[in-house]
Amino acid sequence: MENKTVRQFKKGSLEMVLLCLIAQRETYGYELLTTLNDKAGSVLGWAREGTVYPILYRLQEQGLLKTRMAPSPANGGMKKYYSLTPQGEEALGQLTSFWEDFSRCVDGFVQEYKEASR
Amino acid sequence: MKQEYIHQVGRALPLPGKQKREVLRDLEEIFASAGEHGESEAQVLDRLGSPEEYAKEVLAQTGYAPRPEKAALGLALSTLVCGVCLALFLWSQSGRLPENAIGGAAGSTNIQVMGGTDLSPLLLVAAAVGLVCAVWFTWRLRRKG
Repeated sequence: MENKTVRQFKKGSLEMVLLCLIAQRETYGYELLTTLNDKAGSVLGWAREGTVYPILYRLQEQGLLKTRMAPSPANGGMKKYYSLTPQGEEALGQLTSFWEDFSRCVDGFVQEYKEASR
Repeated sequence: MKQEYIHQVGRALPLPGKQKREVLRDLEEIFASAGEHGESEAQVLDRLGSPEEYAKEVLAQTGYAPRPEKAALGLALSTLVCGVCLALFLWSQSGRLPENAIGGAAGSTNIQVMGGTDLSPLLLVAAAVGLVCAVWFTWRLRRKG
């Protein structure tokens, strides 16, 4: 199901998910997308360059991400590696904290509904 | 195909040079990485969407807001310059010697023809430049609108 609501859910969480991944290790675009798709493709299915790269640009602009050019270990081609800045780490902390509260709250309503319709 | 795509994205991106180059460079990397992992150009092109769509997404996320006010101001100023220069030119022309001034009088006259450099062509040039600028700013406004 790919209605507007679902799209909004996905869009809203993508930024945090990307930060989570980049926080764990410095990575370049293609690798980031592959990881995302491997872990979440079936559920989220939204890891396309056209969606992810613009978000990366915004996160850079906001000072949450930094980049550096380096040869990739696999074949030596130059890649742009993304990593979190200190502000990025702080922002991620706040996002995940919010997410935990938020999802717990929403879950509460969902569980209540499920109990009620049993 | 790839080069054409990247070129089209560049055309659809009204961003400052440095930012635009980054985006285009990243696109090159996307294709290169995909190729390294056995993907074809066609596969990448397929999921990238049209160049306009790609550019639109990039613009939607970046803080770059096209400044229509800048172009509008430019248009106003150049129209003003054009109008003023044209008016001055026409006014300077109206002070010229009438056609039959010399030789038409019955006796001697006190008409003095002032010599010196005639700067009025400069006014016309300035008016023309103003006009060209006005047209350009109009075009810029239309492009961003």
